[in-house]
Amino acid sequence: MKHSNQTPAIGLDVGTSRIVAASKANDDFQYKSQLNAFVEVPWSKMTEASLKREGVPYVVAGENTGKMIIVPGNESSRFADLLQTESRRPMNRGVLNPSEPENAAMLKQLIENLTEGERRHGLPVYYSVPAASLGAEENLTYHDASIAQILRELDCEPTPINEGLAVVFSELEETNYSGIGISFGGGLVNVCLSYLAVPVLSFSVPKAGDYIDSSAATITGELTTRIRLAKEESFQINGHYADKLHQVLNVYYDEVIRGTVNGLKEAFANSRNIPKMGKPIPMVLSGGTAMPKGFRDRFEKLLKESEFPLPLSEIRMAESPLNSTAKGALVAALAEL
Amino acid sequence: MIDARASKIEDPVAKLRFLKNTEKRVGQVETVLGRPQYWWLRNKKFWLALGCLLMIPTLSLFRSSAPPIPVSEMAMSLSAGRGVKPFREGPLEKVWLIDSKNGVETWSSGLHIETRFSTTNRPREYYAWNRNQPTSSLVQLADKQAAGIVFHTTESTLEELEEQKMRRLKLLGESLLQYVSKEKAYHYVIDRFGRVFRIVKETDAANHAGKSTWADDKWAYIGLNDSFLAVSFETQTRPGDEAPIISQAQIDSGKTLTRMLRSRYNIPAANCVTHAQVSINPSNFQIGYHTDWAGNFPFEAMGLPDNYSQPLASLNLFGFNYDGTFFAATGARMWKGVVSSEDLLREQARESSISVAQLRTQLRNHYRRLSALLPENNKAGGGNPNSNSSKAQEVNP
Repeated sequence: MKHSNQTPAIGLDVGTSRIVAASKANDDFQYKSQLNAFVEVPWSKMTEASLKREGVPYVVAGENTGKMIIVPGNESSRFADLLQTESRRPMNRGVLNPSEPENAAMLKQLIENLTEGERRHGLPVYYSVPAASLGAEENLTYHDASIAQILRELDCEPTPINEGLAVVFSELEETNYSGIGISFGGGLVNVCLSYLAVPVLSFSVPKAGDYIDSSAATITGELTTRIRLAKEESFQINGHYADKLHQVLNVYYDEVIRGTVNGLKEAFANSRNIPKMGKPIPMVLSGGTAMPKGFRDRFEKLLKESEFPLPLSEIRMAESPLNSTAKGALVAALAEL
Repeated sequence: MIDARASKIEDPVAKLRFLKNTEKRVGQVETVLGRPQYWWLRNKKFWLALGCLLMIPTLSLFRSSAPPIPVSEMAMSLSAGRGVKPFREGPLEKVWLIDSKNGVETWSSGLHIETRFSTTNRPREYYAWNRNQPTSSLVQLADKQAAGIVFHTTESTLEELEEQKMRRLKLLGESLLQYVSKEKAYHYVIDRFGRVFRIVKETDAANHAGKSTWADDKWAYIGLNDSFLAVSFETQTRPGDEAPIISQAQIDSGKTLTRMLRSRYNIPAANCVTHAQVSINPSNFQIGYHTDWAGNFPFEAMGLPDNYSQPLASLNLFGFNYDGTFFAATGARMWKGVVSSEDLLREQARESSISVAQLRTQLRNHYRRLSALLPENNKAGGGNPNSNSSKAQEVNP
């Protein structure tokens, strides 16, 4: 999709599995996304020539130490499948992957590619950051500061925004930004309760899409990259499958949904600061992990069984689940201009 | 009301901007957080305030029209002390020590201070930034007198204030005083019975405020352990607008002590604030790391104006922000200050023709630069923070 270079700001969803950039031209929101992953292959003249021929973006690294070709973003998944290797991930569980030495460099490369043609000095960029996990005193400062630093190096003006709140800003305009936004991402499930655009309670649950992939990979012996492809192409929750891979996916999806429902119930039951909402509020589900058919129905069923303490007017999917965080971040940025 | 008005705005960005900008939203959110929906119908103070508000335009008809403010003055007022409501009061009475024996000081205002837990710490020495000269650096103030007072809660175990529980109340008080004396935690503690105990000498710094900041008309202070005195009440903070746990004896003693300290050190009323108003967390640039007296400190009963309505220096001078936790801990009164800080920030951004986000980034960088100059962050050099010069001395960046 073509981006205009006139966007007044950019909203960036920096997710564990995908980075999405939202911009605005005239009255339209536009999106670009890249997988937050890369594959490294040994350099050869032939490999480089074939990448060039196919128009695949790549970077040649290690000129002095042993040349490598790095394929970042969307193409990395295909190459990983082709080369029977795991793609590497700059992020893990919602934050920079501590065991990936190239985390910041690759993230910068991906963000640079995504914002190409849009960047100008001082361009406001609102980027998503996760909330702390339930019951954990996580320090998200380093992650937050690293992304801000990357954006500053790209000559932008960074501002963080809570991921769940971004979903609210994207989807709950009709209720004046009152309601619950949930983003089912790769590394985390982020939840935010907002009242009139004020984040009242936010937290994250650490079991999300990557947990499904890695658990299913352990059971089936498949690569997680392949699991991810299978999940995105043909999976339906509560579908009846004969093959083991889809049965296993069903089990782990159920576990992630149950984990989130339990987290919601626990957080809302234990917090003394829950507003006394005058009327039922909506709950909106977004993120790539919430995409399979049947996800919303299963979630609603389990939430109803859990005796969730807040009255809900509806539980619905986001209009565009993969883009809603980025859109919400952009809306927040535009509101500050 | 705000909900209904927002519903009429079709553009999502304009709607969000409206909600973020409206002061009234804060009151409404506070209402749903803790109060019955129509609390104001039964609230006498609300009707009194409304009555006064309606009187203002009428009274202004009889006032001579004020001369227009020169542009240069307006510009100055934007960077200096904007939005700080002047508090008019008569001159503070002089207070002096009339007697000191058997571990009790008696002051001319009738105040008694027990000194058996008194201790010393490092001598007070602090730096401040002249906000009227935005390009200036930190300055070591020469007089070394306390610039303000921070009110705290001890957050210690409490027992019901009843005669039959006297033994337990005394035990809790004594162990608290021993602890805070060992930690050099405050300058004064006022126990449940209203007794005033000196902990750290007034001329010394106390470990009370942690990372903190405040500003008056001229100076912005970073790290109030050295620049402000600490008065702590033996109590626990209640969330939001809940009534504070404080006895009348504590209020009476707090008022007398505050007047004595203000009189002795010439402390402006605007510099008498609560820990929640000054506490910051520079690692994530959020305010309210500590939330003592976040919403219900009895300023008026202490002979002070409602300082909750003052803008927070952390927000409008140094670009800090707040999150849901802070929101939940505070009461409606404190949000007046938060909202006026945000108004100032927006105004300043508009004047500089930059976005609020850009301004906030600039202010944060400024905070980083200033705090890096503080002696505890700058032991390797950069100026001479330990100078004994009687003149104000600037720290070289």
